[in-house]
Order: sequence, then structure tokens, then C-alpha cells
Amino acid sequence: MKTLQHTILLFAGLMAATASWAEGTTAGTKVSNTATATYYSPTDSATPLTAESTTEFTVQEIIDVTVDSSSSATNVTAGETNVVVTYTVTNTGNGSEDYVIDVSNALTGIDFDVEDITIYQEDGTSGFNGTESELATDGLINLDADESVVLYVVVSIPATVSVGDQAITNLTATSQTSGASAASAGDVLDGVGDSGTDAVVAIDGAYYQEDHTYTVTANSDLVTVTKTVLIQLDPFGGDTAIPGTETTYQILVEASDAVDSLVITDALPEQVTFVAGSLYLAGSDLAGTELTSSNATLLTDSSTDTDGGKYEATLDTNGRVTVDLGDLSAAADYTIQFKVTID
Amino acid sequence: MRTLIWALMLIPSLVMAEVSLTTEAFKIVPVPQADGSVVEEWQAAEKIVPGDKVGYRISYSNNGSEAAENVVINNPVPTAAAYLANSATGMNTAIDYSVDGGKTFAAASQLAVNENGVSRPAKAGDYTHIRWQLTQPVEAGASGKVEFKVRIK
Repeated sequence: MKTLQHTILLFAGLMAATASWAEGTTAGTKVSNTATATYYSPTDSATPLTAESTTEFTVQEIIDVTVDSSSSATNVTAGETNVVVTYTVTNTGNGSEDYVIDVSNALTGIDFDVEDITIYQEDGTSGFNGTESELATDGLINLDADESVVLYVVVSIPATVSVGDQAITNLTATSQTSGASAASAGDVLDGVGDSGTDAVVAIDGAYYQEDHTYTVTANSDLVTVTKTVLIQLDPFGGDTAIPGTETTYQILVEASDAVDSLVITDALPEQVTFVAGSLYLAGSDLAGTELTSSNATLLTDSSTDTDGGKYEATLDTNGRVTVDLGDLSAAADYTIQFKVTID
Repeated sequence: MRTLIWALMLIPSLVMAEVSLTTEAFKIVPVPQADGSVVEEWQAAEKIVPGDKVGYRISYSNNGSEAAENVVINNPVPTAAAYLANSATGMNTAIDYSVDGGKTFAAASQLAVNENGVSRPAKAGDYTHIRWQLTQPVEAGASGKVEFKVRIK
């Protein structure tokens, strides 16, 4: 039902909607059924006699709408802007219908609100590229029966959120036919359908809600890894890098927040040989201080034990050192140390 | 004037069998019963929307003075509707269907449609016409009914 004719005309040019014109008899269609009987009199088998009867009813408007999203969840980072979620709103009823589109933060079950919510309408080019028109501030769109429109909802994530925090938005498309939003599924609204029909509301409140969850994940700079040479000792007691020189590497791992499944790997360069039994791990920032069994834990080179540290000679071009730090529940620093000799 | 009266008096004697038809549409509504079962009720054909089931009842009666023989009732399926499988009923009738706009009729199991050059068994939604052939004459003063159901597209 067109409630605001001039608004519809305004939108007609902007709408880049795709129409499928599939199933769904249009509201106002008269469905006529005619049965015909032919028969014969017992005394005249040559002359067919006929009788006919017709009945007719009018298909009423059904108000129905669906909203689909390609996904129901998005991973975001603190302070991220222009986070885009794509929705498709489809008029699954059988008449022309106005809908108001609204995107709001959920009131419960959330850790934060997304900000700068803006709704854009696809302009004929698939995918959001920033040149689309914003939906009018009243969120009004008109869709013919079976017509759909693609909307991009763009939000920003506050800078103050923590890893694991969640926000939920509710996108609703609500029919603007008079009385529909207060109706229950199956209710009939007299005379407000297309072509003077009654309107039958297919879903409670004549609206469809699609929720989307935004989950804050680690920033790419959440973990910093710094590798340094602590000691370089040549066979003659000096610090020249020559064959036989033993080099002690330290890797400082700094996690600024909780992080899951943190694994540090180091592919050894060519022309060096890993010194067996030289891998140490300290649970703090000991960069610059040589790790020994008195201030750190010796991790065996074996890959079959549970100490998280291993040296695998067959991986990468010249072997790989791995330290699995697992899940960190809060910010933490680690220092890793191992030795190689120059071939 | 006299001639006209005579002519009018002649008509009933000429029309020995006079069958009349009445077609009615009903909205089929599933109504849950107290025992948990669901019974389909045929209600007045109001507020019909796409997806609704509609039942058609075609009543016939012979108002003439002699039996009507070889009675055949033919009903095209409305274009805005799809016939529901096995829904056509009628006492003492042979029911067959057409998928070619009423040119030919056959039993449901023998109907095929050509789709992209390939013949496949017809589905109920392919039917264009339903035909009831009454196996017995309709005696003078007798009546009966046939029914079928569709879903509004």
C-alpha cells in the first residue's frame, strides 16, 4: 500500500533494486473458475446439452518481508571504521509496499554500541564502494511485489573496546501500511491493501528483524616480536661472525592484551646450525639478560613432549624453532632464547 | 399470442433432461482440534492470499423429467492456482486430467510434459484441466457433487 505517493516517485529514480517477478499472484487479481457439464438426453444421443457455472474471488494483499544477510557476524578491531555489512530486503508479499528500514544497537547482551551507523543503497554496482547514496533519514523504501533491494550498513567501532567484546545490531524492515505494525500474523486489515483489497499480515508486527554480531578481535599490533643477537662468540674469543662462531638469539614477545593460540616460530637462516639443547623460555621481559636454567625454563628440542618448545630440522630451508605460548588471558611478556653456530 | 403460449408449453416437453451446475469456492483452513489433530475446514472464500488452499465444489442436479446420460464435467484449473495432487473427488466418476490445455485427457499416472526437450511425468501443478466422467446417468431429480483443491500461486 502506497502511503506516501510523492516519496515513492522520488525513490523511483534512485532505486537500483532487482525484480524477479516470480510467484505470488498480485493483490487485486480476480481468480475465476468455470465448470462446464455436457450431457445427453436418453432420447437424443446426438445432441450434446451443456450447463456452466462460474465462481470468482479476489486475491487480497499479503504483507510480508524478509531480510537476508550474507553473514550474521563480523570480526572487527578496536577503532576500525567503515565496517560494511550487506543486507538484502525483499518484499515477499504480493503488493507494492512501503517499508521503513532501521538499524539500531541491541539493548541487551552487548558490551558496546557500534557508532556512526549509516545505511547506503546499492547503486547497480555490486559491492560497497563508498559512492552509493545514503538511505533517506526516515529510512523509507518502496518495494513492489517480489522486488528486493541491497543495503550496505556501515559502522565504526569505538577505540576503547577490548578483545572479545561484542556488539549486536538489529536491522528491521517494517511495513508502513496503516495498522500493520500493530497486527499479529494472520490479522486482516480492512480495505488498506492494493487495489482496494484487504491486507493480510503474514508476520507479527509486519516487520522482519535481522541481527548482526560484531566481535572485537586482536589488533594486528596486539603482539610485537623483537629478535636480537645477544652474544656472538667466535672460536678465538672475539665477536666476529666467522665459521664456528656461536650466536645467541633472543626473541622478545610482548602481548598488550589477551590473545589466543600464540605461537612464535623462527625459520633459521642458511649457513647456521641449531645448537641442541639451547632453547630457553622466560615468562617476562628479560631481553638483554642471558637466559639460563636459573632464570628461565629449558625447553627440549623434541616435538613430541608437552613443553611447547621444539626444533624441527626438516622444516623450512634450514630448520625451524617453535615456541607455543598457547592462550594468554591478559597482557604478558615472554623472552625466548636459542643458539646457533655459523657453518 | 396463442402461438406463443403453445410454444412456451412445448419447451418443457422438449427438454427431458436439464442439468444445472453450481460452482462454489471455499478457503481451506486447517483448524486444530482438541485432540491435537488438525481438520481442514472449508470456509467462505474471503481474504484469500497467495499460498492459501482453495477448495472448489461443483454441484450438479438434474431438474428435468428424464435421466441425463454420459454426463461429463470439465473444469480448467484457474491460471493463478496450482492443482493439489489427488484432491479431485466425485462419487461414481472416472477422473482424468489434461496437461495440454484440455486437448487430451488421461489418468494422472499416464500424463507427461515436455520440459526442455525431455519428457517427464507430469506433476499436479502441470494440470490444466480436470474432467469427471459420470459412470452412471443422473436420474431426474437427482443431484451430486465433485470437488477439487488448488493452492493460490
